Amino acid sequence: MNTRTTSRALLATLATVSLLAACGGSDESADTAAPAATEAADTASSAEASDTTVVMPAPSITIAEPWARTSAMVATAGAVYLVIDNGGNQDDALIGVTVDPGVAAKAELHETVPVEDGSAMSEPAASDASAMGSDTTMMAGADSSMADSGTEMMEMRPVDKIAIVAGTSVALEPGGYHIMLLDLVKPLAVGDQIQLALKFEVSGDTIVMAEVRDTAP
Amino acid sequence: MKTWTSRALRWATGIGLITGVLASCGGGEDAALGGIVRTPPLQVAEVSLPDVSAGGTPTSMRAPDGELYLVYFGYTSCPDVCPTTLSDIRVALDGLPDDRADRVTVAMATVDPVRDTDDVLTGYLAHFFDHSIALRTIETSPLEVATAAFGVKYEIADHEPGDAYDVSHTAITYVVDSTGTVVLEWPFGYLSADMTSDLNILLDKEN
Repeated sequence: MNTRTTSRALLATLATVSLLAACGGSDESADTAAPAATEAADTASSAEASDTTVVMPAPSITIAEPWARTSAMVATAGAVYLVIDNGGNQDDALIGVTVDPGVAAKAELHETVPVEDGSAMSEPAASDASAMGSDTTMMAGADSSMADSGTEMMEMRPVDKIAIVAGTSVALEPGGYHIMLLDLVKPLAVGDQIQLALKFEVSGDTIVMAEVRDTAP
Repeated sequence: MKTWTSRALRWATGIGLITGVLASCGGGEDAALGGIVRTPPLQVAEVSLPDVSAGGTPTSMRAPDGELYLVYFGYTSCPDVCPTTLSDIRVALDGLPDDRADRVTVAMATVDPVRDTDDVLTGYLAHFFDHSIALRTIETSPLEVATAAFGVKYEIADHEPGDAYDVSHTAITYVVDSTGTVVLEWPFGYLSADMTSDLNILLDKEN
């Protein structure tokens, strides 16, 4: 929006400059230059007039069902979940989050992901044997990766940004993306409201109040 | 997330087919187990870890006669999957009549015994359950034996001393009977209502 406004002002200025230049020049050049300048000015003003009907690309972010799970007295970590909808026509991304320091020292964007087999830990022999055996039972309705997926680890990792493509929603939900609260100041109790500031790449900051609950809304 | 959704659907598809077969054979409407049934099932009768909620008494990871024992391997600094699973289990137990819920023991074994002290683990579980078993050992060997028996994998992330760290771990809930047989396994994200249904079926068998 700002970029557009600037270029429009620039165009108008250029038109004015050429108009002035025309005044200072010879009659001949004035005759040819003046209409051109007027034309440019006309174009600028008509662009301005039609601006009201042109839809500028922009994201339109709304947040639904923000909630945090209650935490045990001894727990140091918590999680906040919510759904982000981008009803606009431009992509955006969640690029950061801050939390009320009265709630937790820090908030980070995280993702829980399954770790495929063959990573750091070797599979215990006992598990191998039984996983083999289980194939016959589970194969009935599934592909070969199914027997493995049961014992794979869940890993949590920080994420820099969560893309919110125009016209789509992204859910931060248990087992997927979530906002991790680190070093809780006090336990999260049912009914508490947690204030968070979500930082979007294009839309800027949005303040959200997450309700503390035992289970998902 | 998409991955998990499709994963859940794959599970559901597999379970649905098996359920369908069982239902048509038995003639019952919904009396079929969900979750994962391994053939042959895991045998964990010999596995034991100290219950630090009871002064560190070594306890077998199996149910008393006629009852069921649910065990989960996790850690208390886990913000997402562990509290989600324990909360799901609590809701599932709330869905059982009291006399049935009393026949189900819940246990959690920590894979992060350094941070999860006896008090931390016991206090953490008390947030979710009135009665539960807190399994913890600081010794590597017994924990390795226990995790191997269940096929649980875990990995503590590299970190500087004093810094917070994550622990990757298998996020399955194991349902063990009184013989030490893992009769059923619930993957992460398995619905509370389905857990309740499974427990009802299994408790019927234990009668």
